[in-house]
Amino acid sequence: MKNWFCIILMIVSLVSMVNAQELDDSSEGEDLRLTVEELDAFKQQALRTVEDLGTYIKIIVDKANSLERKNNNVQLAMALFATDSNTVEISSLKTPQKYVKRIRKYLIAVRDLPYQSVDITWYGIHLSSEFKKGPDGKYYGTASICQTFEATLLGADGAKWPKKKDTTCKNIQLVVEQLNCLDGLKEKKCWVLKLGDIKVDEQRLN
Amino acid sequence: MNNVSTKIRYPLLLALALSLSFKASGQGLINDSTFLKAKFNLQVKQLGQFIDRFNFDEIVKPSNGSQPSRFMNIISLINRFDTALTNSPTTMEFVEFCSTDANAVKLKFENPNWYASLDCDFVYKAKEVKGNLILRPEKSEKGGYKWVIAGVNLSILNNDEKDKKVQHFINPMNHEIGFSEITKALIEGRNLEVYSSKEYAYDELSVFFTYLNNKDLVLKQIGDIQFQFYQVLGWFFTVNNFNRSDFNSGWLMSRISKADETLKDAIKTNSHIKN
Repeated sequence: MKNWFCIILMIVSLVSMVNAQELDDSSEGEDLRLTVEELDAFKQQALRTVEDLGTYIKIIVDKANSLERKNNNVQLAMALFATDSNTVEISSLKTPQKYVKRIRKYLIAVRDLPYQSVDITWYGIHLSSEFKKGPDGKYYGTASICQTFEATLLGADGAKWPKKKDTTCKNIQLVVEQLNCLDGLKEKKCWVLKLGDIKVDEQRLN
Repeated sequence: MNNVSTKIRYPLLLALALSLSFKASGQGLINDSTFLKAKFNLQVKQLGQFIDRFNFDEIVKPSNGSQPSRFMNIISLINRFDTALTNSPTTMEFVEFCSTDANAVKLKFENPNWYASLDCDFVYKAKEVKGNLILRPEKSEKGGYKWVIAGVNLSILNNDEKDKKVQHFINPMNHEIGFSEITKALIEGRNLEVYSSKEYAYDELSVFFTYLNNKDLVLKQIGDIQFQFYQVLGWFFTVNNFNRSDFNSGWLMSRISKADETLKDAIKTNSHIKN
């Protein structure tokens, strides 16, 4: 089981790598001003990463899965993030109070929700046209993604409740770091894209 | 054009322009169009996208087939639900000024003349207090940029007591008895600034950091965020986030006013911004 888990972790890390050679970071020596092609590549990469996160969340929520499988998927989801201290902030239309949690705690809270299953449908992605260099040498961008979330609730008596449905838009910090990675036996520079903090806004629909 | 016709033409033009719907061409839709998808496409989702559209780097196409232009791009960035703003001749004058190529108006992240004002809820001695934090981007010595705290506006940091407490002072011969009055003053521990020299400059940001470091003041949460732009010569404007079921949503201009450098400085001072 451990080997299988490590292989999946490796695949997730490899999927997050974008070839560095074609990227131009010459804009005033500071920022990545992405070309349309580069922006598309990052957009697809960001979308895949966010979709991966959605896939893991579905597994984490689904009551049909064992606790072990759910916890493995919490680990896989965490591997998508830049650090363990990344947070998710959720604002609701009903209250000015915001809900802020570390990602891991959030995923564990999601794991324990009384949902039978969830459906997550993404309906758009917009990536910031620039990645700004931070003092730590990493590049920071933002992905805006909207989704509809439908969950089947399970009552205490085991009966299915009416579906819970909401529409939210997320701004997700993207952190791009240049690292040395292996291409076969050759070492080369790679851009590794990770997720950062997440801000979730419930959308007003009327 | 005389003033009367200007006053009539501007609101009409603006209302007409704002009644058009827009189609963003920047990054396209992933799937077929529905309201949500169309809204997603038109909504100004990030402040960076606001800047891209303002600078005409991302083009917003009017859906009636008319030619895209920077003028129309900037019009689409105004909060159209605020009729006082949309009907103001000043608003149209601003849009015309910014969309005139000769004026070469470009918003830049790197230009330090813009700020974020964060509405914040704090807890101070078990009581909730509201205030504003002002942040601005700053170039790091090692390269790259970071947001830094440039000011704070919090009632508990107001310091207008110094002049009122003239009865509190250390008498000129108190040195002869071992500065007994300073001992009493420091033990009493209130409004100690009244004992300082006239050269002393109260720095509310330093006091703010001290309160936070000592955990006397704790940030509860950040509320609304407003961006203030001082980058356009002769103009000042603010950008707020409007979460609503409309194509005209997201980061939009909420206030536009003429402002020379003196007025801009006054607005900054009023916002507790330290240059």
